[in-house]
Amino acid sequence: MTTTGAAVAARAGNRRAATASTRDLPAGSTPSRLRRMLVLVLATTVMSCAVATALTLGRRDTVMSVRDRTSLAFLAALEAHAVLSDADRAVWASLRSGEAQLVGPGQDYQDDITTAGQDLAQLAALEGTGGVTSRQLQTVNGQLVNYQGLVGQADATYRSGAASGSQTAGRNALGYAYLRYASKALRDPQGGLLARIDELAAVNRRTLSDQRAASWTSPWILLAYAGVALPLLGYLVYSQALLRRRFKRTVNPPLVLATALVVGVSIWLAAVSFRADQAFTRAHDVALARLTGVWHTETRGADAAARELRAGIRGDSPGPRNAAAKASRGVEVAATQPARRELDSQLATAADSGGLLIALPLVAVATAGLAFLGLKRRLDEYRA
Amino acid sequence: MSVGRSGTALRALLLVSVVVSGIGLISCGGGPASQSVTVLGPWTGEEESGFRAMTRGFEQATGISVDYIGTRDADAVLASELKNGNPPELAVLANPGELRQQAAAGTLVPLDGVLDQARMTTEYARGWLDLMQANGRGGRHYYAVIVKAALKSAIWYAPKRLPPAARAALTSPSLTWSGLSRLTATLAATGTAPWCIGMEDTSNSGWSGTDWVEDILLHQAGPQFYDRWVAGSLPWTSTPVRRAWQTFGTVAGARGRVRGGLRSMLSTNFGRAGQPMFDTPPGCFLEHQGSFITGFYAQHKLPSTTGGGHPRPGRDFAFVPFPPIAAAGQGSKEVAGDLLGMFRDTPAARKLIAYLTTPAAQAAWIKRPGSSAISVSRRVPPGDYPDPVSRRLAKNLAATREVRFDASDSMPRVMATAFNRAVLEYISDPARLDVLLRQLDRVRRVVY
Repeated sequence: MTTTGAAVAARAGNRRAATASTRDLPAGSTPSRLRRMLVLVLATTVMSCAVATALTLGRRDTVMSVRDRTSLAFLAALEAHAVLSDADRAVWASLRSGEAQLVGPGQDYQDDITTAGQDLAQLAALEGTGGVTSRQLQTVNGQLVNYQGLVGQADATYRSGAASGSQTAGRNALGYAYLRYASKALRDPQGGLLARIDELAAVNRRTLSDQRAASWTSPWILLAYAGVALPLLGYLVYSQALLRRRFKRTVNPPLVLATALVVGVSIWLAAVSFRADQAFTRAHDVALARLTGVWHTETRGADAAARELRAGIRGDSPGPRNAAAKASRGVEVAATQPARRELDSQLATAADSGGLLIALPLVAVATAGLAFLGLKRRLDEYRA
Repeated sequence: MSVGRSGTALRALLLVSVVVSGIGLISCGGGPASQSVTVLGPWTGEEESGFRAMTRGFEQATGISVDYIGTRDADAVLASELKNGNPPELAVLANPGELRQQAAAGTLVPLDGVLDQARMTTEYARGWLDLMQANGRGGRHYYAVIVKAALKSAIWYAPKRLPPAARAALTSPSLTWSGLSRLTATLAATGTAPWCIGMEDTSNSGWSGTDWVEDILLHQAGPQFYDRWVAGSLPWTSTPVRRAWQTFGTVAGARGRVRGGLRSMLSTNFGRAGQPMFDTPPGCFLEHQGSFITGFYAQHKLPSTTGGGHPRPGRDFAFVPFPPIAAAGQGSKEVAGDLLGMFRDTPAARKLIAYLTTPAAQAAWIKRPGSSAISVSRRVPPGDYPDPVSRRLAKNLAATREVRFDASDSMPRVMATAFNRAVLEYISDPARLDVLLRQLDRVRRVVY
């Protein structure tokens, strides 16, 4: 510290700056100090921009990965489970109601199988090739073909019994037996088709939780930005103080403007981060949980209906048919739509970078330019 | 803050950035990729645990992880994956017929260079070694290893539930089929169906009925007719085969002989069919089933009125060999085994398949209480089996003069599937036997 510097600061009435400069001002000539400050401001500006951009991109990519891959894969698995449960209900309802004699397993069954096929195709596209998940998916596809084969066998046996008119009791019993085999292939908790789909859903659910817990989406990661933005602000304020002491100028407008820009963009970044974090939390903890709950409710409904239809078979005859078959209600995909829209909306908000990806480099260039302008004039005075 | 200190701070910051970037690059690039091998098989539940116990030592010793996918529909899944051209590295084959078919098609990888053949020759009987081989492209090679085996010619009973007189008749060394038929008629007269039969096994449903027909044919017509039938040269409509079906019909088609009748037989899972034997009073008394059924018995919960817990080998369940029906079938036994083949040649798959033939690997599964697995390796000592029933099964398997592999498992896959379906059709309508046998012959003429 120099005595002159302390006196200038005292005269300007800025006690705090004076105290700080008394403690911190280094030895050396003023031009060299100004040059060092310029280098430090420019360097920390570049780093601040880089860190803020990395944070924004990291968070956006994580959220987009959730939105465009993991949540889609998880929901495709949930839907596949639900519609296959419903396919089981539908085919039992068709046989129990007597519709099967004309329409076989029925339109609901066909629609469910088509939807399940689309879900599995979407899962395959999202999971890519190779790896354990891809292998599991192949197994699931094989099991689906097997399930359809057993339903087809049940249908053929049932219809041949109905057509022949003889030994119908035995044929009916065999037809229902094949349908039970199909249901077992579907619902066996040990390696059945639905159990395998649940494994795929669980893999994606774990990935979702990991992504939610990822540091990119936490507001605490702003500390990393603070780690470079605060030194930048410090250098800018220090430069201002230095100029005030050395050149007796109260305000250096370019430096003030640069400081304001840094403060402004920091607030902007924080606001976008907090808003994205809130939206991501709501998407994961509320919307996704609600959507999962709706799918599970729909699935349980189909399971219960199928169970009731299976249980109604007595001896070799279908038992009191029609009543249970008519009462059975299928999975309603529309019931999932409100929760789905909420999830999509929250994820869209969480993925929105709020214009930061364009603003950050512009602000960095402006900050660097203003700092250069503010300090270069004083350096030029020395040269002159 | 001094400029000098600022410079130091800047350098430190840059250093941290470089270090962080470095760590990021390392974590993104990863170290050497860990190896894994995928195995597709039909083992679920306790059997899956047994296989996992078998591979645990391998994983610890090599660091290679074994990704096992178990489903009762493994055959159908494998067929689908083969069609897609993307099978797993290793898969359990449905039967030796499938082994021969895949070897001939060139989809299976020969294991001659993988297995220690000199060691195998000393540890495995000739018949088992033959089962592991097939004619592929370029001659006869090893194409599979036997992971575990089972004795199929067995009739199971619950010693505590069977009336003493019936028990004495059943366990008599001179038991014949006629004696067994008399015994079941006596038991049926008590109002309880003597036989427990369950046909359900999802896409493979019906195989427990094919086991009946096969065992009857082997013990009625003898191994020579059996071999001709398996090879496709003895028609299904021939007298020995038809007689075997009709004999099976005296059990499955007779009123009051099978618990629950037609519907129960068709819809009961093979693994649960025997559980009523342990009820008080018993729901049925006898079950014809392979030795692997003990694994299912061991999972059943006994009623609390009888002390609870799980059935224990020897105390709660035991077996007698399937009795001879005619002199030609005396001393023969039907066996089965799980064959594991390699569809994609990777170093990890090679190591695993070689490991599975070692006595240490084989013992890991059979040692598990209630595992029901039997090893065909001679180097696995009888003392490794966890209970007297397993030891007796292994001894029985080793001592048999005429061993024949499960017929449907040895037939081409299409024939085996048709056989399964025909059994279900026969049970639902025994009067259609002639039609069914003619249909089976049509399939035989196409697939052999």
